[in-house]
Amino acid sequence: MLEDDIREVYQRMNDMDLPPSRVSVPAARTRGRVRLRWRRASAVGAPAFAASAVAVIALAGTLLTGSAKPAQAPGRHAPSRFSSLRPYAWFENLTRRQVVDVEELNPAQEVLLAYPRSALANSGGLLVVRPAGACHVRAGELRCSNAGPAAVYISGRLGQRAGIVDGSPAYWRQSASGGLLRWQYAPGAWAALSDGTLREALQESTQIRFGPKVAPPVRFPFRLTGVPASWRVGWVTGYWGNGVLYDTWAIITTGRTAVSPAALPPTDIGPAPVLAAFPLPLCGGVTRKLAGRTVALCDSYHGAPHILMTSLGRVRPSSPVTLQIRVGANPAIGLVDLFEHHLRLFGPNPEHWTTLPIG
Amino acid sequence: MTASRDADFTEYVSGSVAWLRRLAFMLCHDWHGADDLVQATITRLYVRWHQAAAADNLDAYVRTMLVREFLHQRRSSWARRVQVTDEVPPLPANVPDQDAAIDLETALAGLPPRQRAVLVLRFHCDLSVEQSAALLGCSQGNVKSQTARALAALRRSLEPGAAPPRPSREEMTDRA
Repeated sequence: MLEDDIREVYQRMNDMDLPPSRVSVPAARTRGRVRLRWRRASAVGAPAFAASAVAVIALAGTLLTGSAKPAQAPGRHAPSRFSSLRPYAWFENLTRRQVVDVEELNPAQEVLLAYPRSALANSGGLLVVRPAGACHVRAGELRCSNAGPAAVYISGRLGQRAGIVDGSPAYWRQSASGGLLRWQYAPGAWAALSDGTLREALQESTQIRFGPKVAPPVRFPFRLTGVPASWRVGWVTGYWGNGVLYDTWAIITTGRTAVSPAALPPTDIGPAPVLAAFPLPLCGGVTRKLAGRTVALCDSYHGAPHILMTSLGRVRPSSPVTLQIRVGANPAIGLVDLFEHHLRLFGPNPEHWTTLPIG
Repeated sequence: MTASRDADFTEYVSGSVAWLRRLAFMLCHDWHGADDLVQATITRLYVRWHQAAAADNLDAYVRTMLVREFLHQRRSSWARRVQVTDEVPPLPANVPDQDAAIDLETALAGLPPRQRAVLVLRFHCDLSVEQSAALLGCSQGNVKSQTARALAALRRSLEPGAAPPRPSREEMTDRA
């Protein structure tokens, strides 16, 4: 009987010798923690997002009926200590902290950081930072342009006034799962910090510094040469410590493929211990040996066609560097050529890394 | 609390990863896909560890997660990818009737994901129609019809001179 044959085939499969496993329990724990963190953030952000949506609908309704009145944004009550600084377009260090866990970094659009309250704590506060012009205040509500989960997180009703941060009034909103402190770190540029209590949040906020002079620019352990000028680093995630961005996971885009953290599910936004235990992400493609390195060639990864991913080695224990290049469906340079002839690696010493990854 | 969670989770997964990989292989028919599936499943398991640990049958809970993750992955768009490898898929060793086994395994691999899942649940996990329906979140009638269709497709494909089962256009979008 066919059913018996099927059982037999399954039984044989079950009796097969298992090949070496790529499954990593530490990676699952790390990614799971990131997801849990996002859940907590969503618990705070979702009601705010819902409120924003209701407000937008209400505003649209009033506009349609012609009775809309421009709302006043809350004024700045004191000059910012950083008012002379341009809102940065790049991640800067957080001083007085040895370790910062960077979860998302999109230099063109937004920076999303998460850092633990202590080196051992898994449930850290979450800091979301948006550049100037990305958010504006209307009728006591902060509205940020849609650029990924961070926009949802930071948007929403500002809540009660709660002291001064960076010379700007801060606003505190409490929810069942914690609170959210929001303030302008530079004119028109907002930051949001989640924490358990207002006191903790204010204390944490005093340890945060922004600005181009606070820390050196991010250095990359690789450089792509001889590639079209439109190629750029679209996104990078990593682990910030001692002035170096470790555990880098960089995405290079040819300019044809839009890169946004929103395009990646939260499971893929994580510090690189994930990659340490699981060097090549789950792209479902094939792996090849190129120039002595294992490279994953994926024709599709989360909707992006033609991906090359490789682990570039480790800077220190549990600090691997992974490079992902999205070349689109019709790359000017083939994936293999790209890796073999256009990619230069600078080794594990951050001293030798470059601030110009392309060119 | 987190340390305890991590310890319990690690202990359970370390002891279960072998059978999870085997089950995933039966669903995916390739080890890379199976490992990816198990990785995704245990990541979700970590997030839901409190609910899972409180379940009456933790293994059944995890098996449900794995099968649903498999079906979810096959539904999502990023799972549609071109295989650019010439590698021959791994086959069971020491098979008495190699040709027949290859034919049947090829035919099984050609089934749509949901039918594959139903067959694994019914004929490997020995779940009843009722249990399979509960696991898949569908009606018992749906499980019966999926089983019947799968068996019919297998019979057709095992006939002399028959081609492996060709999924419909709808099923194509459901396949990796």
